[in-house]
Amino acid sequence: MNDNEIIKSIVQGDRDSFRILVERYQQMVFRTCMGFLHNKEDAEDLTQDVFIQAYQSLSRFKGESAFSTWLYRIAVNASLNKIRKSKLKLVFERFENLTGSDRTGSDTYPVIKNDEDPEKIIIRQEHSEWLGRALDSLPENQKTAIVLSKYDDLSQKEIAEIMNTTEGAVEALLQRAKKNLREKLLFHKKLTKPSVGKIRILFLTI
Amino acid sequence: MNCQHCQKELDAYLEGKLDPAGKVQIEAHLRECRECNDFYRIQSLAGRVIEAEKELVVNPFLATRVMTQIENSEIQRVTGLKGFLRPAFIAVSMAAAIFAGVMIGSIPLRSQNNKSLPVELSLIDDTTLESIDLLSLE
Repeated sequence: MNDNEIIKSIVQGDRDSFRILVERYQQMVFRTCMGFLHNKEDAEDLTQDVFIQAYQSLSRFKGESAFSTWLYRIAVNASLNKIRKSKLKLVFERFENLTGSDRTGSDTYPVIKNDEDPEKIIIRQEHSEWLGRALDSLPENQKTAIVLSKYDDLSQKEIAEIMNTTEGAVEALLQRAKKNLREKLLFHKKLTKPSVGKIRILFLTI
Repeated sequence: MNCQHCQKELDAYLEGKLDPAGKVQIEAHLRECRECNDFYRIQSLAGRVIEAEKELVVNPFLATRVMTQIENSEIQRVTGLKGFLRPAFIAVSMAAAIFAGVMIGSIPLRSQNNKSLPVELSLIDDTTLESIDLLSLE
């Protein structure tokens, strides 16, 4: 059963068929969300929201593009919205800190499972945060192009279709994004103090 | 090879897309130039972080979670509609009852108003009567 046949049956009332689409595309959507958020739990929550949003607007899907392209668009928009909201939240939290209000757990710590090496997790988390900070400082269209290219291994043609632009524009975006990212990565690496994170985790694990 | 060329070709080098001659040139430059070497190490690390993030597998229960949430939201929508309809029905019933009460109450009044005036009273022309202002002046 192809995507369009499944969508047709869902629109006609067969809600359970939507599970097939979720299972088919969950890893793809999750990877895209991960590219924007760099946190597994957040990316999973957003993946869930993306599918619910897709289900609710499925009747508006006209089949003019592939279902995956349509789903990518929803995932990219949801991720960008989530980042915007997080930035706004951060501004409010900083304001609250300045005005002396109580802090309400703005720090997140990596989850450590028994079978994982804590040091590896710390390093992975720190590196993810470092990459996330550098990516977040890029303009939204550059960020989208680089995530779709590096995380989803999409061609420039596919990225152009998702972003509703031309292949030439995507190529230019990717070049600028790579140049900016290199500089930002270097800049953020110099600012990173890995020992702070390690001390936090050691304190938590004692 | 200069730094600009090296940094331009770095992506292709990291992705293994360079020809052997280009590869040798890049490696020679990276050994000599500290700035380009820093760029290379940073980009290589970023590439490894991306690969590690891409390897993460989504929760196997995600599809079940999505389907449960969709089901719950549909149930909520139906109950939400019922929840809206019930107070709306009560409000409409009350409005109808009040309207009916007013209508019933106004029936005797209307019938009184509709009574025809005695002939002698209908002959009185109010406009010819003296104004109350003139009376009060006296």
